[in-house]
Amino acid sequence: MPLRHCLAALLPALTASCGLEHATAVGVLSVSAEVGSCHRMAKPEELYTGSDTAPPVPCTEPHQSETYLVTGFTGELAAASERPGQEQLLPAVTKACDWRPIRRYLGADDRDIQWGLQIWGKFPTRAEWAAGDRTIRCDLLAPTVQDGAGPEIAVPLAGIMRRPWSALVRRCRLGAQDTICARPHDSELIEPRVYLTWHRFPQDDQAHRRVTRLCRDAARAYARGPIKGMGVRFDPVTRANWRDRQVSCWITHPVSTTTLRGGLA
Amino acid sequence: MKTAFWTGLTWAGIMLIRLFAGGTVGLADQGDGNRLLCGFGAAVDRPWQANVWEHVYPTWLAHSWFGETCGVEGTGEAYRSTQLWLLWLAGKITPLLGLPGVIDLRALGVICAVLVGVVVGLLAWVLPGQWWVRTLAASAVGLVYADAAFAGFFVSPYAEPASLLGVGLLLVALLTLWRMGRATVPRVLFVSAAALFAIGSQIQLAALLVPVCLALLWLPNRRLSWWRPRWFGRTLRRLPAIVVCLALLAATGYHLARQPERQLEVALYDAVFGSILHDNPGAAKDLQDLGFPLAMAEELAKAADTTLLSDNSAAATPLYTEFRAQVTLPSLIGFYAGHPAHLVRTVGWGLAAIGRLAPDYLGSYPPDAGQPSGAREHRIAVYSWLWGIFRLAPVLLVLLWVATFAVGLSTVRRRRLKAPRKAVGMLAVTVPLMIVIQFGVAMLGGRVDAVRHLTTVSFLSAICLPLLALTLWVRLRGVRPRARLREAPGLPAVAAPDLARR
Repeated sequence: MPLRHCLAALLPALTASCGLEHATAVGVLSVSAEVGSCHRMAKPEELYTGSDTAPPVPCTEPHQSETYLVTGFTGELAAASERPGQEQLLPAVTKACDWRPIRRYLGADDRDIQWGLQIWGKFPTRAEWAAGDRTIRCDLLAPTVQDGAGPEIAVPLAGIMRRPWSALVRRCRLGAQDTICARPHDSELIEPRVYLTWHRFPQDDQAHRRVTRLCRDAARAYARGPIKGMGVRFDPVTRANWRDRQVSCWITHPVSTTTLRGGLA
Repeated sequence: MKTAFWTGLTWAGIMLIRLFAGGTVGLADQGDGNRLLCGFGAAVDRPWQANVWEHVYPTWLAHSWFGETCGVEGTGEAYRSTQLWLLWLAGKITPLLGLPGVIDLRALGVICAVLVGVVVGLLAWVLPGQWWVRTLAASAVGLVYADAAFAGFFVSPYAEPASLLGVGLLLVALLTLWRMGRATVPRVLFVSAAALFAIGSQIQLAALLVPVCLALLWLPNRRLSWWRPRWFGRTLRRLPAIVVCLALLAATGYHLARQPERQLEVALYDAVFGSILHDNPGAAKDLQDLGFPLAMAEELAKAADTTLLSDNSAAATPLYTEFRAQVTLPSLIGFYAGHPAHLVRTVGWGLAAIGRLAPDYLGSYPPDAGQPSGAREHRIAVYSWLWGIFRLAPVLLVLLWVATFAVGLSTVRRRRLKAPRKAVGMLAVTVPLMIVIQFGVAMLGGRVDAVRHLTTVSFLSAICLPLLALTLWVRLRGVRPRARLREAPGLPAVAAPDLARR
């Protein structure tokens, strides 16, 4: 048979189905997930994929998420031999990733409230599921520090509320725009909120004076000391809305990217 | 040969100039790019929060993907396409062109420009007629490739470049097969290779199998004409084509079986919730007709107009398992067969999508090009301009297809036409078949993203314009003034027609 015939016969075989065996790197098993491990997902596709088998990275290196809880699927979903679709798994993951351990994980006390963190769950790959793995990894998604960049930090979130870089997870404001305290801001939220114990609403100016005093006290307690050169402000308290009996107070100061609270212990 | 060489070279040059002179243009990534390129260990170089629909990011840098992060929509299922070959080649020449990253889509643009030149050059070679006719006709096809509606795909992370080039090569192969009036084994294999390259590029192009097999079986083999009895000989003379068709069928089936399950799942979901239930007051009734009990149908109908990933997607409900078991491609075909109103509505969406010609919601420029976000390029837009008529009245597309088919058929039926000219008619018959069958398959996925799913149909529809003109030219040249029937005293009456023909 002439060479051209051989070549021509080869072509259909070669074009039959051309998939590229994926150049996936060797990862780790989902079941080996540990609380306190940090995970780099530098591309949005990695973040939005339901499973993650990339090896953890040191928490002092850039990463996108940190595991605060490891749990597992239960019930009907867990009984499935083949992994259900991610649309069915994600509601179960959301339910399983309890928010309550978060404050303890962050080292928060009564005066600390986290802001800008999201819960991000990961589940096993199809192969791992088929092998019996039902692990759910509950991560905290890092805040976005720079405009245009994705979520990324290079410090551990465990116990962060007791450290100066807790500015990454505290709530501040620049003008009327809420932001994390690690970004430029001119006021910082005081926790906890101030509760009004009044029996009835006083005059407007008197209410304003009383709330200012309450906020100043709260600010000193929050900052663990005097708040010289700084002011307080709060959301307006009126006869119409005072029955909520809660007021959010803010310490105002020149624009900064740090927190008044972290690292002062 | 010289005409073909210079025509091909010119069109390769035109493509290079239209893609790169004055800054690169391409097509923004709708989110499909990663599944195709991640297998090369590459990730697109773009800011995290960039709106990928608005700008072209041509550079793909080295990146390690773990587990299911590389594949179709986070499933880890490999996306299989002949486009991977072109991308592999682009990866090889990226450093040679001094471009950054593992793969730069500008390198793909260079390869595709050269291949467009090859396809156009080959067309100029295999088409019949004088050199200027062949140059004109091939250039009209080159102009389709260079049009703003299609050229952007050549600097994009989609599978369409392989589809468009594969289909172009298939047209060349079919003309080569038919131009001698008899099939030969190498030519049959050439057609099958071109068809497989095109079919392998995208799942919806599997529909090409039917017209390609018909085309292969059209003419008998040259060397097998001595067989008797006649009916047996007729079959046997098509034996190479029959064998190749069976091989094509097997290869296409194998290719389809290896496609990611997730793709079919998305297509079925979009077909039901994005199309059948779209703007549909009788949604629950239609779901019942698809086989769901009333209570379940009413519940599922609430998810009308959602996608698989929507917050209120039906996929997040326990009913979805039943949905997946119930709704399959055959059940969907059965539904359309029993609901002509839905069929008409879907055809209308499809025609409107072809009327748009290009995915005009995707930007053409890189972010540093100084163009507004999402801006579209119109460097060469002859067909885009002509398409204004179809944008206004998409139903005219059907007229174009029918006209091309009819003129093609009329040309094929002319007995005295030479084989190379007849081949043009045969192509004019085959292309509308390709269009219609592919249109049907693509629209099974519904109206969601129909413009992109119908890119190859739009491309072939655009090719119908020069093909129709060329076929008309061939057909009319074959017409000679009818000789007047003369009385021939003394000759038998039956001889008269023969005389007239002389």
